[in-house]
This record gives sequence, C-alpha cells and structure tokens, in this order.
Amino acid sequence: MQKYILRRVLQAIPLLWFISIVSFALIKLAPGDPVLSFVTPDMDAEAVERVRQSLGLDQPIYIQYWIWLKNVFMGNLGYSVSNHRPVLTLIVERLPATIGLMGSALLLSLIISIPLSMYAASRQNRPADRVLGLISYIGISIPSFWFGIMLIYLFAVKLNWLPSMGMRTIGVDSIWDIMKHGILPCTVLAFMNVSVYMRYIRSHTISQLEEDYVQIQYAYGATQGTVLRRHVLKNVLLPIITILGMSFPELIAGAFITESVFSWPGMGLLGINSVFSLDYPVIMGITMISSVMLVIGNLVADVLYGVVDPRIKTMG
Amino acid sequence: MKRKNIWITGLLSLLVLFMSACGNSSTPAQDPNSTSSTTAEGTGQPKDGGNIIIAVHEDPRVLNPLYSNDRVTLTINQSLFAPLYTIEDGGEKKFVLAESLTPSEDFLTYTLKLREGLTWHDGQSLTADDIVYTMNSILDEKQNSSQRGSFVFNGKPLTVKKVDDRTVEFVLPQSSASFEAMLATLKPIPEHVFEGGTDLEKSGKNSNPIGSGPFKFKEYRPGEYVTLERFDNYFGGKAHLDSVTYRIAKDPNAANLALQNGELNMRKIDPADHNKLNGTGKFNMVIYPEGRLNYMVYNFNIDALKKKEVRQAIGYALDKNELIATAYGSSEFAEPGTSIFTPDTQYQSADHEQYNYNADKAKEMLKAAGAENLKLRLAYANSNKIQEAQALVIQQKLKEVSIEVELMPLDSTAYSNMSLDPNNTKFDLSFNGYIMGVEPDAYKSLYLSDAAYNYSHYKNADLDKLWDQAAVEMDTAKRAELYKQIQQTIADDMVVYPIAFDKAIIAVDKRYGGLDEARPKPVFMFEDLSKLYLN
Amino acid sequence: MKWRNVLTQLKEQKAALAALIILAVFVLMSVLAFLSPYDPNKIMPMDKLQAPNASHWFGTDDYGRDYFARALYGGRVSLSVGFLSMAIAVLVGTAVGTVSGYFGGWVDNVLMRMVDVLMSIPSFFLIMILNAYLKPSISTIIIIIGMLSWMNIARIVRAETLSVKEREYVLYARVSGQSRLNIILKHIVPNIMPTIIVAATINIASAILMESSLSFLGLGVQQPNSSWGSMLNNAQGYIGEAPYLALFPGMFILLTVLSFNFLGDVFRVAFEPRANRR
Repeated sequence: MQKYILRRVLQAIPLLWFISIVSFALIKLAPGDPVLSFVTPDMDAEAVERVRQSLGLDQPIYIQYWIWLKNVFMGNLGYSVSNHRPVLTLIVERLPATIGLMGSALLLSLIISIPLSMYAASRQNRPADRVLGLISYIGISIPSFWFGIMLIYLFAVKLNWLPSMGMRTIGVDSIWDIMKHGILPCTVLAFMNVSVYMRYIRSHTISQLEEDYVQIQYAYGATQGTVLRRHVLKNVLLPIITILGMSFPELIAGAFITESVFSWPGMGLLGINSVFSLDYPVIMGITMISSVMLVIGNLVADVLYGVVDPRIKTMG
Repeated sequence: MKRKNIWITGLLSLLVLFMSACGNSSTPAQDPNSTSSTTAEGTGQPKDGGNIIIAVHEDPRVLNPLYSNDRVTLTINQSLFAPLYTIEDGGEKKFVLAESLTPSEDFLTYTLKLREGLTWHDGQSLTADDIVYTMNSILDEKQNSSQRGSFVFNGKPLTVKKVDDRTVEFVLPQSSASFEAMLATLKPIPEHVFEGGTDLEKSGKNSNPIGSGPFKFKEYRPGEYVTLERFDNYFGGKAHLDSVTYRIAKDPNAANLALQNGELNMRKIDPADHNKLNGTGKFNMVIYPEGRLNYMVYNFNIDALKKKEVRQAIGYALDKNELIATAYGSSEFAEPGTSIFTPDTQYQSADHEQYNYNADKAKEMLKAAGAENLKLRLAYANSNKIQEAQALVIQQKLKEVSIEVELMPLDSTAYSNMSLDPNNTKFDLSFNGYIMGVEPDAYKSLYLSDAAYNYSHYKNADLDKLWDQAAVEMDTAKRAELYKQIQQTIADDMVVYPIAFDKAIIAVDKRYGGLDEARPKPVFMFEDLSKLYLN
Repeated sequence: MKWRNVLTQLKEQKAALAALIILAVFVLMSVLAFLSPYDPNKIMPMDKLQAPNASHWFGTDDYGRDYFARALYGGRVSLSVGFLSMAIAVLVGTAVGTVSGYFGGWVDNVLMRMVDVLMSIPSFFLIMILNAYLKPSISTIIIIIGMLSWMNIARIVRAETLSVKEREYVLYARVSGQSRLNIILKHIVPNIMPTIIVAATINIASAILMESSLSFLGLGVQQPNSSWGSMLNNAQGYIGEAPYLALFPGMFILLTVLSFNFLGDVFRVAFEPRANRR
C-alpha cells in the first residue's frame, strides 16, 4: 500500500516540473517586450535597461528559468505588475473565498446527487427517472455564465431576495451574510456537478442492483429502500471518489466563470482580471497554483481509492 | 472586467499631470452640477453619522500617492491624503495643508509655510521634514515615482530644503510657469513611517497607509473593498460621515444592479446607463464636464495617412453629432469636440476649420488625392463601450466614402503599449482621451515631435517652436495668439480628430446631501467627501 | 459500423430525434442567414432596444441592430467554431492516441505524459491566456480551442487502439509487411471509428460552450461580428429592461449543446450495445 502511494507521489513530481515549464513559457510567449510592462514612456533607455537587468531579462533563457524556479521554491512568485504586491500574497488572500465556494459546491453536489441518482436508478426508465435524466442533461449543457445571469435576474432583480454580487455586505460580518451571498454562485457550480455525478452514480447503482447480493436481500424480504441504504450505498461510494478527482478540473474552470459573473472575490476572478490586464506574474502564479491544486486533487483521489479498494495494490 | 470603465485608456499616467483645478468657469451653458442634485439639497441640515459605499471598478494599485496614477487609486488617496493646496478656477490657490506659498522675485525659489498643529492619522505631527522627505523620494530615481517628471526641468531636478519645522524652500533650476500647478498634485507621505525602507513602492507600509486627509485607513479586503473611517483630528473639521467604503465592482452590469438594490450608494456611470438609473427616481445625477477630450488619432507612420488631404477627407466623412448620439446616447453627456484644448483650458479657441460633415466633399478630396478604395484598420480598447460604439459608427460612415475599415478591438494594456510605440504600424486609426487641466503648456506632452504621448507620431519642427515660445511668453495677449496658432496648425494638419468633450455622470443615492459642498471633480468624483452627509 | 442501430435508437428515443431536428434547423438557419432582410451589423441608433415585434422578431440590441439577424449570423460563428475546433481536436487526438497506443514503449510514455501535463493545467484558463496573447479572431479561437481539447480523445483512442492492435487482422497486416502508417490508417482507425464519433459529438458540445464562455467574457469573437456568447456579453447590461437580449442567445446555446450531448449518447448506445440503456 505504502509503495503504491509512494509511486503515485513520485509520478506527480515530473508532472509538476513540466507544469512549471509551461507556466514559465507563458510569460516568454507573451507578445511584446515584457519589460515594457514595468516602465513608463518617460524613462530613458538607460533606466529601461536597469529595469531589464533587475528582472533578469538580460540573461539567457535557461538561466532565467532557473532563477524563476528557485524563487518559486522559496515561495516568491514575483510581484504583480499592476499593484506591485507579492503574487503569492495576492493568491493566498483570495484562496479562502475560492476554496470555500468550491468546497460547499462539492458538498452540496454530493448531498443532492447521491440520493437523487439512487432514486432514479431504482425507478429506471420510469417517468421520475426520465425527468431527472433530462435535468442532468440540461445541467451539463447549460452555459454556466448564462445560468448565473438568469438566477441574478430572477432572485436579485425581480424578487430582490438575494444579493447580486460580492461576498459580504459592507459593515456586516457574519457567516450568514457570506452564505447568503454564496447561495447563487454555489447553485451554479453545484448544478453542473450534480448533473455529472448523477449520470455516473445512477449507472453504478443500476449495475449494483443487478448483483447477486441484492437479489438475495430481496429474497430475504428486504424492501428496496433498505437495500439501497444498507448495501448499495456502500458499494456506490467507492466510484464517487474517482469522480471527485475527475470533477476537479471542471470545478476550477467553473470557478473562473462563476466568480466573474458574481464578482466573487476569489482566485478565479483574480485570474481573469490578470489576463485582462496582462499581468504576467499573476497569470503565471495562478497557472502554477491551480495546476498544483489539480495534481494534488487527483493524487488524493487516487490514493484514497487505493486505500478503500485493496485490489488496486496488485493492479496499480 | 468586461467593460471596465477606462475612459483614459493608454493615458493613465498622464493623469499625474492633471491639475486639481479643472474649473468649469469657461464651460458654455453648463452648470457644474445638474439641476437635480441641487433640488434635493434643501431637504436636510448636515447630520453626523452614517456610511457611504462608493463603487470603484478595480482594486487600488498602491495606496501611496507617489505611485497613484490610475482612477481608483487617485480616488481613494483623495480622501486619505491631503494636498498642500489646490488650484481653483481662475488659477487661485486654496490652501489645505499649507498656509502660504511665496515665490521669490526671480521665480526660482518658492517658500512654503505649513499650517500649525497638523497631524498624521497616527497622531504624529506633520512637519517640514515630511515634505522634504516626500519630495526627495519622488526625485530619487530608484523609487520610480511616476511624479518625478513633474519636478525635473530640462533634466535638472529642483532642490528642497527645510528652513524650520513649518517652512520648506523649493529651489528651481529655471523658472517655470507650471510649477505651482505641479506642486498642487503633491500629497505628502509620512517620513516616520517609511524611514529606512528601501523600496517605497513595494513597502509593506502601503498596506496600512498613514495619511493626513479627512478619512483614515481602516481595512482593505482585496477584491472586495477598502474602508476608511473618519479622522477626528482633521484640521479642516471632522467629516460628517463615520466611514467611506470603496467597493470593488468590476462588472458594470452587476454594479448597476447593486446600485439599485442599495448595495452601493455612489457610482460613476456610463451615459448608456443614465436613463435607466434616473428612471428609478432613487438617485441624484451629478453631471459635470470632466475637462476631457475624446479624440481619434491618425497614425502618421502609415503611408496612406501621410497625405493631409486624406486625413481631412476622413474628417469630412464623419458626423460628430451622430458619433456623440450613438456613443453617448444623448448630447447631454458630451459636447462636440472643437479643439485639442478642452473648454476649461486657458486660451482655448475654436477659430479654425471644424470639418463639418460633408460626404461629397470627402469623396472629391479622396479622389483628388488618388486615395480611392482605402483600407484602414481602426483600433480601440475592447473593454470601452464608448470607443466600441464610435468604432462601429466610423466603420459605417467611412464605408459611404468607399473606405473599408477593419475593426481591431484590443485589450487595453496591449492597446496602450502599441499606441506608445513610436514606430507603431499595427493600426491606422485609434482612439484616445486625456484630462490635462487648465494649463495649455501641459498639452505639449501630446503634440511635440518627440513627446512620449505623441500618439499620432506627427512631427512638425515649426510647431515645436511655437509650443516653446508660448511656454515662456509672459504677455497674455501674445500668449493667446500663440496658442490660437497652435490650435489652428493642428486642426489644419488634422493631426487628431476631436470627437467630444465628455462629461462625468455620478449617480448618488438621494439620501445623501452636501453634494455641492463636496464639489464634483474630474477623475476622483468628489474633491472632499468630508462634506457629504446622510439625511 | 452500426448505423442501423443509430436509426433504431433515433426511432425509439423521441428526444434524440428532436435533438437532430433542432440541430438541422439551426444549421439550416445559419447557412441561410443571408436571406434575412437586415444587415446584422447595420447600426440604427434611433431603433435601439426595441422589444420583439413584427418587424424585428427578436427586437433590436443596444445599437439598434436587428437581433434576429445577429442571432442567425452568430449561430454561424458558434456552430462553425464548434465543428472546426472539433475537427482539429479529433485529428490531433486520433493521431496522438493511435500512435501512442500502436507504438507503445517510450513513444507512448512521452505522449501520455504530455497529455497528463496538458490535462493538469486548467484548460479554460490556458485558453483564456492564449486568446489574450494572440490577435483575437475567429480562426484564432478555433485553433486554440481545438489544440487544447484533444487530450480526452487521445486517451480514449489510445485505449481502443491497445485492444484493436491485438486483433488477428492487424497482426496479419503486420506480418504481411504493411507500413505502420498504413496499418494505423487502414485497419485501426476504421475499427475505432464509433468511439471517435461519440467523442467528437461530445467534443463539439464542449467546444461551443467554451467559445461562448470566452466570448461572454469579451475574449472571443469581437465586434462587429457576433456569436451567441458575445451577444450575451452585451446583453447582461440590459437584463433589467430588455431580458429578451439575454434569453434568445442563451436558449440557442443551451439547445445546441443539449442536442449534441443527446446525440453523443445515442451514438454511444447504438455503437456499443453492451452499454445499452443505462
């Protein structure tokens, strides 16, 4: 078991190294002379050269990469071009908002999708199943930004029940207030997730229902509800770990758009703003951090799967 | 993010040159405040207490006046940091931190006297040392302050010296008519806070700024808001409001919604949103000229545009009124641009060819110049709604004279970088705008042959001489004549096509009073938020 | 190929038939967009923000342009971005997948690590960045989306190739000395075609969603052109007074993507009877 975990961790290292190269390439691919982002037109050639040296841009490219990588390891992701604050600080102060949103969306998705999809599976091909199926089709097909706009239109503009933007009411500092702001963005993220999970869990449940042990339970006179809760649920939880890992990229991409629609002050919004202002150090930082989050997310899912399902030991 | 309100794309750094005096004295027939703002005034006496939430479109950069040259940072710093003095309509000084400024007879030495008993937000006293420290930091090349250029004359910086605790002396290398205006933009920073630090711009002290303005720093949540609270020892009298919050509302659509829901109390809005918001009856609309010119730039690096007749023909092919009607929705929010100087600028004149719409003439001129079936690329900032509208109208209008226009929407940063490149040939036409203040000399940074912001890349040695002459001419009549000549030359050569002098529209929740006393100002909305009160 | 199964499926599942009809109508409409009496880019400031009426079926937008005409031409852009970037993704994905699966060894290792890396970077963010770097145009978007969405296809194709390459006819072809390229093109690709078609259908759906998100954020299709996504960018500001501006393009995107996802599943069921009816 430990060997398996160790191997998975070791496999992640070259991956992270490649990601660092891609991130670094992003600034090198950038159009124009990056030094121009750091100077004003009033500066003379000498001053521009000084800036170039201070950024290490006069060095050969592999040395620049080496310097950059060393800095990254020391937690120095550079300074934002637009407000000169350290990139790591910028990201770290926004992470709680993003993780909070993603986490609650994830939790909500599981709470909703597990019972619903098991119910759908037990009503296979009956009207309830078909309706739930259609809803989950819509969930994977709806543009999330449009869904967000429609929710804002309904709940903020028409009904005025919920705030349309941000994470806090100014002057109010309560968890309830943050939750109220989070309802709409969380719904958008969760709807997409629930739909993906439902299709997955439903098909797993159906195959479980065909297993012998279920038939035996029925033979003993167990009701369908008991069978689902006591026996099938346990066996369905296992594949859920895999889809959790799989849904990470979706969740991160969704966060970029959703945070933008709802002005949620998280990492995604920071990322989109940095792209608009071509703030290269922030772009690189976010690419790195979100990729690392993805790799770690997958790693954790794999390892968990290995822990839960001992068969992996021999296969992996 | 999508349509962030960068009116001054590409010219952000020019705002430094913007002088606090942007009078409306010479503005024709336009009260500085719309009538609606004054009607609601009488309802209450100033009361104390309450808060206001003001929308800003992005995070502030650095809450340090040495580096503020974007709208948001300037706006927030306006409440945090007090200036030495401001310049009023007609060039008079209104003293703030300073008590007097006396030039020597040769205009080479200026003696500044501070008020008595000034304190910083942390209770330390504000003295001559702070002024000297601030000026020396600006002048220190290593600090990269964007204000440095204002205090360097022909390559030579001024020198600053403390005389006593309340007196400072500035010695200029040569006399300069613009020095007083430049010094008005200086906002002192506290020496005792920054002392010993190496890089002021990246200093951690900027995350808890100590200023001397009517409000002091309380909290900054990145991406969310900046809150300031009342500074009780403000020498100009305590503010009415307990606190001011600048809420970061990137998306204009979301911000307008929040404004209507009461989540925001004040916002600078786009002309397109005026009617919608005004219709709710919840807001006072403060409409005032921003002293800003919105114009189209001809790129002289492009062969086709090197012919004067072609540039003029394009001018005749465009209809200013139609441009304004489409881009601003109504002539109420912008006046047709008649000159490169805004109406508040001294010696502004419209005594030159105005290129009124005449498609037939345009066609003839193009034919005579042998420039038929031209293809031009028009660049604009993709986040700027007004530029987008203008671009669409121009494309349509020039099609009528057989000029095919390809639109080039660009990201604002890329746009500004390309515009500033003196050898740029990536586009032929583009938009820009500036707020340069009342002093006509300031405008030369856009029109001198080798000026950094000469977006047209227009070179005219004779014109350069005129600018230099006008800068030192002391006789007002002669000076007026020189500036008239400058405006005529630029209009005749069609260096830029002035589109509009636009106005700012600030929507303020009707519950707030004191709008007139707070005094609407270009760039930072209101000059003195301490005068606002909640009814 | 089990096209007959597809027909059976379509007959059985009314929803799938509806999906096919919707797509056919949308494709037809965008092909015949030129029949519209309105120029989609003609600005009429006097006619702006008209609610849907007899002469402007979908009303007019904030520049007074006919919204129906813009939706037709916008559909052209949205659909072609979907199709063409799918074509790129399928081409690259199939090439990488078959080569990786057939050759195995270090080739497989290098290619699959590459796929891993690309899949570890949030592709939406990467696409945004590249779009901001390059000159925004429709062809740029197509290429960027295509070049960054082939990884899933490559993985699926590789897995299929691994199983197909052990079949007798492939072994026979190898023994009889056919070139590797020949074997891949003539024997492997045709046999994994069903898988490719399913993946391609789903890929169109996600490409259309991707383009609409980019254009919505203002990074995709630029004025005066429109796509359904870019129309939503303009519409959000008028949600209070003119909600129809947001409604129409959003519904079009939803219906199109929904239909492709539906069809993708129909194909899957039809081609792999084992996976039926789940």
